Amino acid sequence: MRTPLLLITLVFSYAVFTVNAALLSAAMPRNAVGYVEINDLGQRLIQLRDSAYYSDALDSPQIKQAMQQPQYEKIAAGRKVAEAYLGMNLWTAAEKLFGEIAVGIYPKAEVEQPDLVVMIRVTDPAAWAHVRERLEPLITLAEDTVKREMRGELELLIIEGKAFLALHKNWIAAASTAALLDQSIAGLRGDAKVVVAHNPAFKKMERDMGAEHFVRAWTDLGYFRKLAGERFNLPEKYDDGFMSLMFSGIMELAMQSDYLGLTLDADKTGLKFTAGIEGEPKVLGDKFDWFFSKSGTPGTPGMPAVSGLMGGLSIHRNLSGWYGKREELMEERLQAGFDKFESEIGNLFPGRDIGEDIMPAFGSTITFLAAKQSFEHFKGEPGIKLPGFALLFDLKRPQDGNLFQLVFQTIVTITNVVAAEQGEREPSVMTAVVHEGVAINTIQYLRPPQGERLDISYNFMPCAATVNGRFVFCTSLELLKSLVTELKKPQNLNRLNRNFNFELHPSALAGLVAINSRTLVAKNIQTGKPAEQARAEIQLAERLLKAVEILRFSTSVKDKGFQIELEGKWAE
Amino acid sequence: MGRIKQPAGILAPHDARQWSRRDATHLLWRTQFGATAAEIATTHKVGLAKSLERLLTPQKETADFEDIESLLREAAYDTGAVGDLQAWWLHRMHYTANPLTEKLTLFWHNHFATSFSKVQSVPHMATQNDRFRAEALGSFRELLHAMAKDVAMLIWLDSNANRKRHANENFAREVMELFSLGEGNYTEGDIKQAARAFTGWHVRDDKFWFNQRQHDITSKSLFGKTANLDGGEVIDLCLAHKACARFIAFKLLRAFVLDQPTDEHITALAARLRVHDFAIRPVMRELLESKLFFGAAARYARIKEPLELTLGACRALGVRPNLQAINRVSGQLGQSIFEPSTVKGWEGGRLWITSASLLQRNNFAMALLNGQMGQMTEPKRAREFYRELLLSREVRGMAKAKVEPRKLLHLMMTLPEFQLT
Repeated sequence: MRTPLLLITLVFSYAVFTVNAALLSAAMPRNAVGYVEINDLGQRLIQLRDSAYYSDALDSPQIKQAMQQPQYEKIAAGRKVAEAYLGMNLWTAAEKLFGEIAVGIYPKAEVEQPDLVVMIRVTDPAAWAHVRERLEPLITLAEDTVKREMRGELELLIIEGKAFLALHKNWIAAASTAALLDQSIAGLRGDAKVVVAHNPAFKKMERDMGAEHFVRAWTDLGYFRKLAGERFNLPEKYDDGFMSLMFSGIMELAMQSDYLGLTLDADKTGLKFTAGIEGEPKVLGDKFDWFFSKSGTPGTPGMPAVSGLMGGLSIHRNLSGWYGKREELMEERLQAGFDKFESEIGNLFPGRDIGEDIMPAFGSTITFLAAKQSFEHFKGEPGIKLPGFALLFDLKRPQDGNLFQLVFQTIVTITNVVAAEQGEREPSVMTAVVHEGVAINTIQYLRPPQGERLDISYNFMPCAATVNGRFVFCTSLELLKSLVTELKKPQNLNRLNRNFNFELHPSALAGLVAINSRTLVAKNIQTGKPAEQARAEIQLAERLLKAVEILRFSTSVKDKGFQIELEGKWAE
Repeated sequence: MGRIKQPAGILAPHDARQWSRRDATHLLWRTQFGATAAEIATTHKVGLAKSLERLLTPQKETADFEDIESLLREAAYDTGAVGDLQAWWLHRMHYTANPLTEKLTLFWHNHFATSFSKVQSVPHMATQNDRFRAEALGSFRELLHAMAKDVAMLIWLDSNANRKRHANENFAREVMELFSLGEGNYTEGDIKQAARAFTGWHVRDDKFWFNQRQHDITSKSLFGKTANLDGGEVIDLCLAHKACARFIAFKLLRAFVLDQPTDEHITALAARLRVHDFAIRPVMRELLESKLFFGAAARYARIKEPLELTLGACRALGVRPNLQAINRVSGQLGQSIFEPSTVKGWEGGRLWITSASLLQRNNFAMALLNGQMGQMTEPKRAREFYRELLLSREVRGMAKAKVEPRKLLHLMMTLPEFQLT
C-alpha cells in the first residue's frame, strides 16, 4: 500500500526549475522511439480553473449529479489524503510543481513492454522542497521496498529494483532501468552528447511543426515500419470506396514518413491540435495526384461568408481523377458496385455516360455548408426549424452546369409528386428568379403554405444556380441568394493551402438550439429527466455553444509534409 | 326521470366490511397503470367508496403536469412524429391525477382503433385522443356520434370515397362490426343501407364536411326502419339494437374485470348500460364496486397489457420512466399506441403472450432493474413488501429463495404470476 501511495504522491510532485532551461527533448536519452512533452502544465491548469468554462461545467446538472455518486465521494476522499500528504491543495501543487514534463519510450528487444523515462522540471523549487519534506516520512516508512542513496546533490531511490528515481532540488527523473536513469541525469545536467533532439526524424518534425508547444509528441515511424513491414501491412488497394476517397492519400504519405508528430497549443483565445507527417505528395506519383492540392496553391476555398453560417466542409478532391483510377486504387470486388452505381445514377443523365461525361464535369473542390434561414416566403414557420443547406462544386466548364440543372429538375419533380401523393406538402411548380444577374431555378407553391407548425419538409425549398464556375444546389432560396452575392466576389487567393476544411460555428448553432429549445427540452424530458433538469441541460448546451466561436478540422499540404489540424477559438 | 335502482346479483356492491389491502391493490392495478405502495396504503385506509369517488371524479392536475404535458404535446405538433405523440400520452398515463380516465382513453382508442400509419397527422390523432378522454367517463352514445365525424377516423376509413353513386362501405361496416354490434348481429344488406346514409360525410380543409352533393337522399331500410336515413340516425339505430349494449359490456368486462367473461356477466352489465343509456361513469362505478369485480373469478384473471406491465412496473418501483424506452418496449410487446395493429385493435387476453413476447417481458424486467427504463434506486425493503407490491399474493417457494434484493425483484417480475393482474 505504501509503495503505490508513494508513487502517486511523487507523480503529483515532480521537479526542476531552471530559468531559460532548454526543452526536455535536449535531455531525454537517445534511441527513444516515442516522446511526449508537456510544458507549463501548472499554469494552464490554473487558467482552466479560473475560466468561466470550468465554473459553468461545475454548475452543470451532469457534474452535480456525478458529485452525488459514491465514486465521487471516494475520489474526493483520495484527494483530501493526497493534499494532506502534500501540505497544499492540488491546484496549488499543480501550479507550483508542474513545470515541464516529458516521457520517453524505449524499445526493449524481445520484450513487449518498453522501457520508460519520465522527466519533470518543477516550477517552484521551494514548494518542491516543502513537498519532499512532507514525503520524507513516507519514504522512510517504505524502506523495506525503497532503497535510498545520495549521489552529491542528488537523492536516488530504487523501488523494488524496478523503478529508478533521481530527485534533484529542481527536477525529478524516473526510469525503468538504472542505465536509462544515468543517461537521464547526464541529459538534465547538460552532459549528454546525444539526446532525442538529435534524432534526424525528430529534427524533421521540429522543422515542419516547430519546437515550442504546450504539448508535443513524436513517434519514430521508421522504427515501426521496420517492425510492421514497409506498408504497415496495409494492402495496396482499398476495400472501401469512402476510405479511398477520403484518406488514401494521407495513408500513402504516412507510409513514406519518418515521423508522426502531434502538437497541442492552448491559450485564452483557443486551442489548436496538429498532427503532422513528413512527405511530399509528388513522391506518390500520378496515382494520387487527384487527392492533394498543390503545395503553394491556395487549396480549398474558405466557407462563403453568408449570414448565419453554422458550418460546413470543403474538400479538395479531383473526383474525375479518383473515379478514373478506381481500378488501380480499389479492390476488384468493389468494381461491380461502381458499375451498378453508373447504371442507376445514369437514369438522371439520359444519353450521358457517368465515367466519360459526368465525373469529368466536376472540378477539384466540393463544399457543403449549413446556415440559418428565415421563412419569409411562408405565412408561418415549420414546427422544427432547420438551417438551409447548400452543396457547391467547381465545374470543369461553366456550361456543364446545364447537366446538373437537368438532374435538379428531375429530382424536384419526383419529390414534388411523392410529397403531393403523401399529402405532406403543397404541390409546387418550377420557376426561376434572377438575383444579381444570376438565374436561380426554384419552386413556387401553388398555394403558399401557412400555419405556425408547418411540416418539417417545408424547411427544404430546393433551388439551384451556376455562379462563377460553381454549381450550387441549395435548400433555401434566401441562402442561395446570399451565396450568389458571395460567390460573385473575387476569390481570396491569399489563404492556407488546405486540402480539407471542416468548420463549425457553434455560436451560430446556439441560435438553432434556441429557436428549437422547446422541442429539445421535450425530447430530454422524454428520456425520463425531470423538467427542471431537462431545461438546465439545454440551457447549458446553448451556453457552451455560445462560448465557442469556431471549431475547425482541416488538413493542409506543406512544402515537405502534410498536417491535420483541429482548432478551436473561444468567443470573446 | 325516476330514481335508478341499484344493481343486484353479481353486480351488487361488494361488502365494504371485507375491504382489504389486497382489494385496494386489485382496484388500483385495474384502474390505473400500476400502483405505488403509498397509493395502495392510502386507498386501503380511505376505503372503497372514497377511492372510487377519487377515480371517477375529475381531479385537478398539478401545474408541473400541465406544464410538461403542454411541452410534450407541442413538441409532437412541431415534429409531426408519432414517437413524440406516443411519449406525450405515456406521460399522461404515468403522471396524471386521473388515471382511470387515461385507462378508459386507452380503452376507447383500442375500441375505435385508428392508426397514425394511415392518418399521418399528429393533430388529427391528438384531437381524436382528446375526444376519447373527454368522453372516457361520459356517454358512449355521444362518443359514437362524435367518431362518425372525427377527421382521423374519416381518413382512416376512406370516407371521402363514400359517394352517393359509389358508396364505400368501410365506415358503415366498422360502425356495426367493431364499434357497436359485433359480428353476427347485422347483414351485408344492413351495411349497404348504412353506407348510403354516410355518403357525403367527408373531410375538407382538415375538418368534417357534409358534402351535400354527394349525400344519398333516397330512402334506406335498416333494422326495420325505412326512411331517408342519415348517418346520425344509423348510429342511433345501432345504439338501440339489443346487441350494442352486450357488445360494449363484453369489451368493458375484458378490459377491467376478466379476460373471459361469461354470458351471465355480459347480460348483467349490458342491462346496466341500458339503464344508464350508455353513460359510462355510473356503469364503471357499479362495475368497480361490484361483487363480480372483487370476486375470486376476477382476481389475477387478466393478462397484463404491455403498457400495464411496463408503466405498472415503473410506477410500483418508483422509476421515473424513460418514455422513449417504454414506448419502444411496449411496441415490441405488441402495443404501440396510436398504431394499433389492425382495425380491430389489440385483441389482447392470451394473445399478449407468445413464446417470443414472454422472453421480451423477461428482458424488460432485466432492463428495468438495470436502469435502462429510467433511474432505478437500489431495492432496500423486505421481500414481503415487494411480494405484496408486485404480486399481491403468496407464491410457493418465494419465501425460501435466498437471493439479493435486485435478483429477487427480477425473479418476481419473471414469474407467470406477475404477468397477471
